[in-house]
Amino acid sequence: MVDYKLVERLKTLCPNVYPGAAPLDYQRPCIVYNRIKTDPTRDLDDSDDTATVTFQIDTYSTLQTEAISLARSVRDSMKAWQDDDVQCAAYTARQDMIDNTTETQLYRVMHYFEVFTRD
Amino acid sequence: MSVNLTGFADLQRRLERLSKEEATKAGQAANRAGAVVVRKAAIQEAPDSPKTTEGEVRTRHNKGGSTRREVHHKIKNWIKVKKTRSTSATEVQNTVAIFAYQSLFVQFGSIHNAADPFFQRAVDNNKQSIIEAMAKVLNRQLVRRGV
Repeated sequence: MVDYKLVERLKTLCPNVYPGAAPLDYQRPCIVYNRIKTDPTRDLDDSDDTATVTFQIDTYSTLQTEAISLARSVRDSMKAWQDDDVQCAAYTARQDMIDNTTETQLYRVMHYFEVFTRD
Repeated sequence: MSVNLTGFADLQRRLERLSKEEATKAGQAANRAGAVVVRKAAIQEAPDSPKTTEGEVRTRHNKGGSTRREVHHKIKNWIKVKKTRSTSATEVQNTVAIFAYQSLFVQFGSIHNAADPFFQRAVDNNKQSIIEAMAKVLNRQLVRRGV
């Protein structure tokens, strides 16, 4: 599944990768990813096993520069992603936020990618 | 995902027969009709926890140790359509706004919770309905103005 490959890929950039949300004892800086949407490919024979999957990939750090720099490496790595299952990964949007739901304020960069893949 | 759009040449001819002011009024009403579809869909998609009630007063603890009292607003009750001024002279604009602070952490998630992009779903799943609502109202507005 593409999610496992995504985790493998992100772990080469940062050891702290969490699906959905970070656990209570999370380490910083970290990457949190969410599968936002899955659009299965449909043709005249109904659907095949490919889909366009939208991922939201967030980088968090107490330092803004670190969050941005990690986000940039994520973006570069995703844009270069091509293998037997993944045909292409398109970078579609970015938004920066401050997450003040924690004791220590976190800088957050959100990136959105559309990945055309075997799902 | 796809949407069907037809009739732009005819629409342009009809709009050109109106004054700029009348065309803008018709467009504004049509745009608002589309925004209303988004609002209704967002209300359907918004989380509605049975554990919370509209208007309940909550005590929040600030990081500095002080506390403050807040009135809780349920997201689905505070999704509104606002007429907003476009930065372009050739566009009309409305905004579907959510006046509930926590909606940000639902839509985009946070370090503690996964994202639930309810607003994006509301738009994505209703693109054709939004366009149809705008087309219907725009046609009605133009007929009323005799074009």
